Amino acid sequence: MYRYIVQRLIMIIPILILVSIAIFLLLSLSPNDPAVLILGANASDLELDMFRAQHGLDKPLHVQYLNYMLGLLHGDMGESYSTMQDVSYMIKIRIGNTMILCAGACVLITILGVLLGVSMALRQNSIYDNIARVCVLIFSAMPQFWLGMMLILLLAVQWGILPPQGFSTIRHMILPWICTAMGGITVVSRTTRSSMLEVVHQDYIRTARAKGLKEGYIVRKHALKNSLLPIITVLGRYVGASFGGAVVIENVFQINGIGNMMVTGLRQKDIPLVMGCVMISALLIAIVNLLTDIAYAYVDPRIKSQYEGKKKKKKSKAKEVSEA
Amino acid sequence: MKAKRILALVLAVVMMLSLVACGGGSSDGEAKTELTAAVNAVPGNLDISVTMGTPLLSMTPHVYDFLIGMDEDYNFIPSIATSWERVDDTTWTFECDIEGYTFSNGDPLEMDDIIFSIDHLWDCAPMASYMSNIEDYYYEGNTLTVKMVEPNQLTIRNIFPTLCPILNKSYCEGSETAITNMECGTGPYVVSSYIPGDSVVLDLREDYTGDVPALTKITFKQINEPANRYIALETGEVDFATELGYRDYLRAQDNADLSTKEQLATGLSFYVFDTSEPPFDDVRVRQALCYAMDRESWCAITEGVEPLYTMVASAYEGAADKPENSIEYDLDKAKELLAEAGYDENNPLSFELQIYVSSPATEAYQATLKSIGVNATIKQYDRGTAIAMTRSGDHEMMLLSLYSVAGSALFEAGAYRNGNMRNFALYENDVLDEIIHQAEIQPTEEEMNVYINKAHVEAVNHMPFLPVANMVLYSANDASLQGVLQRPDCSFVFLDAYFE
Repeated sequence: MYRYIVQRLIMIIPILILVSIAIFLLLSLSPNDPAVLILGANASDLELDMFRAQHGLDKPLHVQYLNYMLGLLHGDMGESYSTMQDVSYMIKIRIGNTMILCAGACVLITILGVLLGVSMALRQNSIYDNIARVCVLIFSAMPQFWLGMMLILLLAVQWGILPPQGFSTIRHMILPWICTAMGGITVVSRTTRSSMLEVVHQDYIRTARAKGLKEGYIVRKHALKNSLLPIITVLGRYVGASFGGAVVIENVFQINGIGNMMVTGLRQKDIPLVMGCVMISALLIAIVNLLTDIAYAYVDPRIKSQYEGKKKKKKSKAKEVSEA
Repeated sequence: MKAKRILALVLAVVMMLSLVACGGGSSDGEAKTELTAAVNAVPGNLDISVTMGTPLLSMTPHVYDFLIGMDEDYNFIPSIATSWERVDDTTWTFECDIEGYTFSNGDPLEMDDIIFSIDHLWDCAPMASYMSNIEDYYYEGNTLTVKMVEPNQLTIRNIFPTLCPILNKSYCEGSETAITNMECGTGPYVVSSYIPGDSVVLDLREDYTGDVPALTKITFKQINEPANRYIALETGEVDFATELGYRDYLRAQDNADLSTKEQLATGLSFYVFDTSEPPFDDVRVRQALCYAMDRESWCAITEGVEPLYTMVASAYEGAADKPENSIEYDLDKAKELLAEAGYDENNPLSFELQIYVSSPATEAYQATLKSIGVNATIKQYDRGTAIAMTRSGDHEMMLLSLYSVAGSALFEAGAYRNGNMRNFALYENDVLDEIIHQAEIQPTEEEMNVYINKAHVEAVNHMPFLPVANMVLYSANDASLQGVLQRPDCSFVFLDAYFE
């Protein structure tokens, strides 16, 4: 298992290199000149030339890329074209907000999504189940930004019980967390419901009930545990997707996160800034995928044995060779 | 068991309610001394010579002093230089009174600091074209002399009142972040907190010996969207917000807790023709399209703008007089000119009408053109592509909206001049060039404005541009806030502001 984890961590390096090449080429070959975008329509040719020279934009593409990667090897993510600040510093001061936003949303998705799904499954086809499914459907169709604006108008402007924007205190975080988590809650709850329904009708559940075990114990120890695999898959996907969704929510609630910064960087074709943000996002998503795989192994011993199975097979083969 | 569940649920609800109920203090009867202002951006670099823009134009005067100051009408006022003189066409002298100025680290202001501040501009790409006209600068005693390569009023105006804050030479040489984080100035405030993309907090200096402002703390908070700025104002999160949308401005007017202000801004909307290529190389075609423009309707559809007849914003009083020969809405005249140019039912005029922001007014204009037999196809591009097209001459007829923060009508009038960076029409005309050149070498604003108005009149004969609207700046603030200096370039200063 540990060898598998180390292998996966090592695999992240070529993935990041490929991502960096793809992003650099896409940005560099796309139309528009960063100097014009950043300095504006009023910039003179002299100003544009000076800008390009200062940022190495007058060099060939492969030289620009190599210089960037050499800097990255030394922990230097380059200098933003628009602010002339270190990209690593700009990311450092913003990533915390994005991580808090995504982490809070993921906690809500996990707890509320699973609880809702389990409750719907255990009350299949009841009035509660039907109403819950309709509500889930309605919320899954709502765009995040629209939900955010409506919550701001209602809870902040009309009723004044929550602040409309910002991210400095827990009160400020409530609305952004709700908006970010809503899509995930609807999907996780439906996945949990269908997964639980497959399990609760199994013979071993009937046997457990017949043995006189408490319903709560049966749900926790038998039903839920055996229905976790699809839930973990969806959760893992939503943890990664929450970074992308954060862009919209950061804009609506004026959160100083990397999503917002990346959009600004894209508009200005600020290549070092965008590459830094994308590389960080790619790294985080790769780690989340690894954690999802580890979670599979933790939940399902059959999967864990597959990872350990190879090692055991190699040991037994070696033993055969030595005996021969 | 059921009772435990109900109790747990009640406890959870109570905890949630207490969480959301926290916060929000009550105010006592004393006037506030802390202000929060909403700005559209808190840049990642607070060096105004690198990151030009209205947020920094607003923040910088609180922390730094400048060689010369500027009032809300862009007139020069004394600052470090108490008097100035235009010695000849290319030479200016400034008498500086540096006594009493100290930086926030206690260092006294010296003439070497002023020279260092100008030296710094050579490293800033956005300043390159301004600095290219500076030949030399030096001081003798307390007199600073600046020599230009060619006579140009704009050089002094662009650089010294707004884009050249006076820096502490010894401090800046010892700190990499001194300028980018605005760490040490002679102004009444010092930056106590700076989070790029979020906020800048200025605290009043305890050791400040000049005119001490009433506000002890000013927070500039980034709120990108105009609607969000208004929401923050209405909910009390901020005390001042500018660049509001027109409809939010109307809502603010109905709010008794807010006071509002509208003023003409230094922003224009205009259509630019590519005069180097058919069909717009024919002046009759350009004039015909101008006769087909109903500016009043265009502004009514757009909302929150005023009709404009010149390439200089109306905010520059005396430099944007409506020309006597202005082209007014007349569809018959438009058809006549088109016919003269050879366009009729059998040979309709067709071209691309290019925009980079959605413009219902342009769609209405398209319909008007259709009624006189002109086929204008609206095509939307992203902003970067649109700017690149105008620079390379790949545009046909494009709608542009530009702001200027230069504080000078001459900057905007430069659009008429061949080779000027604002001449998106790529128009070459010796008469206009000469008029603008004369404007540049005039010794006073008044004399300069005479030539600028001549340029407007002459431009009507050629119509390389079709100016349509002057943007209006809408601001609102807490009704008890007074004394805010607001300029038409959307910048604002709180040095004389106070809460009643």
